Amino acid sequence: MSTKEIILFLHPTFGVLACLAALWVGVETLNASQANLGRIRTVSTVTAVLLWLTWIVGGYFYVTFYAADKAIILGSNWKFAHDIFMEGKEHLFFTLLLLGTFLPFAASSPQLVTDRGAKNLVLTTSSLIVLIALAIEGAGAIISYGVRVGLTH
Amino acid sequence: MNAKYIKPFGTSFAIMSVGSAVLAVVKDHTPALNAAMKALMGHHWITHGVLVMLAFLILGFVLPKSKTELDTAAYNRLSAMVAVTAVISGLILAVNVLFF
Repeated sequence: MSTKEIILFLHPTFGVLACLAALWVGVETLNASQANLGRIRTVSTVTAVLLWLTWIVGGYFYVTFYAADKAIILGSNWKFAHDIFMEGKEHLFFTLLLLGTFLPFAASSPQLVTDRGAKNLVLTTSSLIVLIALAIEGAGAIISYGVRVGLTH
Repeated sequence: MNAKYIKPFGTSFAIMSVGSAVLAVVKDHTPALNAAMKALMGHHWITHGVLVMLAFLILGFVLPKSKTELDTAAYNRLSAMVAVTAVISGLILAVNVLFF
């Protein structure tokens, strides 16, 4: 396996792990208590770190290697895989990264166990992370398939 | 992590999420801006991301901090603001890639 391929696979791996971590934060928050407060805050920070790693690794692949894949996609009948899904994904990701970075702040509330509103903020943030991350993972799959279509048809 | 930063960072998220989507649209339709952003850090997307995340962090620390603990209504307003601005950002980006 080449460095390019390792980087290519690390990107969605970190993304999926961030998605699962955000889901974990949401479920723990539904059952927030003094017993799991530390875990909620730790996993919130883990979510943020994983999203930053996703950005750094994915960004490196995008600026270093993606041009060749883009040319293959644009030469195929799956041009929309770049025009719609990559163009949307590359910018929607920043909303995801902002949410991920905000999550540890939201989870720092001292009222997380007692206040419904404080719980809602963490639940809203973690739910948006899960939904957007899933959408971006799906877009990534379509982009990969676009390359395959370009190479095989 | 200090709870007094919840509101300023939530507000910063709202501003920068929509700001990032607007920058993506403006950049797509302004070749000179796209070229300038590419020249700055080697790729327009890197410049975009670095600017957005830097502005988010700076705004989060500069915006007024909460002097008292937030109440339920304040948390709910913040949740609504985060959700609505995330959806607006997504819609701006969707319209841009689908129709322009």
